[in-house]
Amino acid sequence: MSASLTWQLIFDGLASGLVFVILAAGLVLILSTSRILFLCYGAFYTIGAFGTWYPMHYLNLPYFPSLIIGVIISTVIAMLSYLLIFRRLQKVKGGFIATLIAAMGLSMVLNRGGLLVYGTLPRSIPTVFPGSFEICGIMINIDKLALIIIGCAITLFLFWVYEKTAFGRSMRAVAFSEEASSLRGIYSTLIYLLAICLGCALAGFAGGILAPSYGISPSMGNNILWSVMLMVMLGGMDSLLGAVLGGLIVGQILSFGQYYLGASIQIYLFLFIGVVLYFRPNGLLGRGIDVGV
Amino acid sequence: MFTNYIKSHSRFIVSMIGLVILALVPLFITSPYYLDLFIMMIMNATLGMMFIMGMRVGLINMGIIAFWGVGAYASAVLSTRAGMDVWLCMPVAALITSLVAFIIGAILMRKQNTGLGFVMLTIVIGLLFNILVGNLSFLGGWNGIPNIPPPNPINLPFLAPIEFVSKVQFFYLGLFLFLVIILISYCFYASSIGRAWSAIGISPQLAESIGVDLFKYKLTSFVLSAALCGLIGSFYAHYQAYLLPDYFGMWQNIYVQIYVFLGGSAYAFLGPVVGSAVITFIPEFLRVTGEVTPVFTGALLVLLVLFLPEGLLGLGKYWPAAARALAKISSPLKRKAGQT
Repeated sequence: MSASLTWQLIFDGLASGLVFVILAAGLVLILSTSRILFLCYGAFYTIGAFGTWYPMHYLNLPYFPSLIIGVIISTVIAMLSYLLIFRRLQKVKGGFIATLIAAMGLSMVLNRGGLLVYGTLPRSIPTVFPGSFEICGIMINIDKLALIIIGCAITLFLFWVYEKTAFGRSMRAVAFSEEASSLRGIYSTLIYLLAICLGCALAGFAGGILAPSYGISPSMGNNILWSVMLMVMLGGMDSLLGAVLGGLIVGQILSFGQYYLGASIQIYLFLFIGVVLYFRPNGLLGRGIDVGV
Repeated sequence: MFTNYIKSHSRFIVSMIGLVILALVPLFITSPYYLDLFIMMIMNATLGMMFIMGMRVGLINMGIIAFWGVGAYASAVLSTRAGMDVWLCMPVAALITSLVAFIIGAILMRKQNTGLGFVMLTIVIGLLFNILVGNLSFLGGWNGIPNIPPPNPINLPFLAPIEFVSKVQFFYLGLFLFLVIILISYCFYASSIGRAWSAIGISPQLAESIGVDLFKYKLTSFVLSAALCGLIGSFYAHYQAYLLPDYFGMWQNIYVQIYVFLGGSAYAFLGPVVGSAVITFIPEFLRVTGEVTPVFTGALLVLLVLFLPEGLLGLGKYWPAAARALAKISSPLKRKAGQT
């Protein structure tokens, strides 16, 4: 294979990998803070994409305001689901299983109910930054370049929130020990709510910004859910840096594998991550989350 | 003394009555469509039981359908490609499934990684199983395996041979396998292994401190439940005579949780039967169309976890209080009736 093809595949993998990073980071925020295995995460990705498509199609809004509307819709649904369902279940004994089952039911409602709302047709959004240029034999789509820039910006923003702000500190404190943090005056329910809203907003945002280049279909959330989970497993469930690492690695593997091996790369990816987890059960950078099952 | 016997064996007696009623079903219901529903109910109840077997030791196995599919595909391939006798295929499929489960379980549960990581990896297995099968041309790809033979006729002395031509024979075969699976799992629950399982379920740390090997017993539970899933999966392959990767999608796994939690997860045998009976027959009576049903089922699961965490059978504990309240209400009425 030629060098330019390799660089082309690395570039494409980077573009999708940075969006995977956003998705994985959102799931890590939810998992490490609230310890709810948020299986309906994929549905929020779909909601974000369709929430961007509807205003563009029916109200003729430009792309960026509709993206904001999509993010707001997925955030509001996430907030309602936490307030109505998960807040009650977290407190009971055996709460982990209860939240897991509720998340499964909710994912079924959101996915299949979504199918009734959106219909089964795949949709598409016109590209926002058309055109491409060539450097050293690599075709660079400006759209994908924009994805890389937005992905980097969001990742840096997340690190700033998680490491520097008071909200990030409280999230880390709640993740470390809920009881000890509530002794210091941190209202843990609010932190859970904000973490879940932030995570689902990120999922909706990722769905919205991927929509122009990859298209929209009702099953997109489920198709991406397992790869996001594999990334989170690979990087470590309680480490934001691990999510970045996992997203980038999986993005590259999928980019190269889909070129050389086709769809069966998914199986090889799973086997590869199984081997990694055999040697490091908590992922590459994680310390492990203890849930009382 | 007789009432004492009934009280101490009430669950056993209820299950026996239920089995007898199930065995009499083909005498009254001749429509193949309803018999098909009954067969599916029995199979779904088995899958639910296997989920509960894993849950006893704290393993939330979200990939039950994948092991079911391994059994079905192993049996289908052995009988169509290798021409093996179907009666031999069923135990061999169970063995293959248990081998697969042993390898997967030994990797997943290493260093007692049985909490969140185990759940997520089994979910990924459940999500990936139909992709894996769809991409292997040896297993028929996305077109599936057609023409899976039914079991050979059973030749009984002095009687006509039993041939598997209609749903009635398959119903009795399914019921027989159901009984076998219940007996096997009951033997395990009643033995020392079962006591170790419930000890782990109550408190893993306490169980480990008195010398219960967590890894060994959790792996036993995982492998046994997978093997029995494989057995019923093999039955499913020969019953349907056609396998598609789409039968083993992720939604099926969610249905297994619904069977378990609707019936009550504390009831290892009766709970899944009640749950799967309700889920299988209620949509039929209500005549709900197929598109809307999953939404209602998902909502039902959420509502169950929120408001009825012990399931329908868990309502039984309110029965004495309800009976007392009824007696209280009715007693003044009786006295009044006596006076006048």
